[in-house]
Amino acid sequence: MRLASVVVLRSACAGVALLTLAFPGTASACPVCFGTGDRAMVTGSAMGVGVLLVITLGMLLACGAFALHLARRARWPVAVPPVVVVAAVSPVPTGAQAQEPSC
Amino acid sequence: MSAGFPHRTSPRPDTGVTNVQLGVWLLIASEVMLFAGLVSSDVLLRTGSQDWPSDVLPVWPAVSETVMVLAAAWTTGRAWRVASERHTGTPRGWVAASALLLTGALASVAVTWQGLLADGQGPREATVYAIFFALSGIFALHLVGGLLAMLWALWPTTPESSGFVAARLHGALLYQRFLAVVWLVLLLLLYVV
Repeated sequence: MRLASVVVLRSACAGVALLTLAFPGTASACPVCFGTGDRAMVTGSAMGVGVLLVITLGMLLACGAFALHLARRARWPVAVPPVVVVAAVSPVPTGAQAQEPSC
Repeated sequence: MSAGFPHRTSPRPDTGVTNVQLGVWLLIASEVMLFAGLVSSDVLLRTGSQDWPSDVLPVWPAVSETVMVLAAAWTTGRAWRVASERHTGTPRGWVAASALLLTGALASVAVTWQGLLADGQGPREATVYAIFFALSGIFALHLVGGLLAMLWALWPTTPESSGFVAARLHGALLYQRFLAVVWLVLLLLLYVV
């Protein structure tokens, strides 16, 4: 029963394929896709796609430039201002005070 | 509250921008893609048409809208400059001027719409009108957004929050400049080409 249904399905598919090959006119797709349609429509589609592509590429380039900017800043980080350490300094010993006490 | 949220007014060292600037740039990037789709559709319909009508849109409201949008960007820049230099005064006057100019630009859009609709040239009449109503309507919504941004920038008015006001006004300035560029592109598409 199951084998019979598979055979019927395959026969139907083969029949549809043969009919499609026998009458190629019914299988033709949208003429615009093949360039045989209205010339202005084809030109309009190309121009619209071109404009969208140019703007999208511009945005992608801007994102890439920002990524490069981040990478450059990561490689050379911003200079940190030097930390000034103020320590309590005792007066420098001079003269006899600087000498080691002798026994 | 603000101590736990860094880089609201000072640039982050690795990116070089504040949180507001980064957020506005991301918003602008998404808006560019929105207008890219609209402009692409306009170009597709315009180029694909056999006979595209010209000189069917009123010019003077567009001229006044152009002047007001450009002037709003300039006054927003002045407001940001005043807010950055704290000793020069308050930016309230410049912000009010920007809000007034944006309202005037919205009025120009409304006048154009009212004139076209009164003449029976609605969006259902022809593709050129449909495109004009779509583009100008979406741009008018962005003008409303710019108006709200100006009010948001000036919301905290205490002297301690002047740094926040300057940072927000810088974000509003970026947005206003973006609006000016978008309007010039739309002006070129709708009235010149």
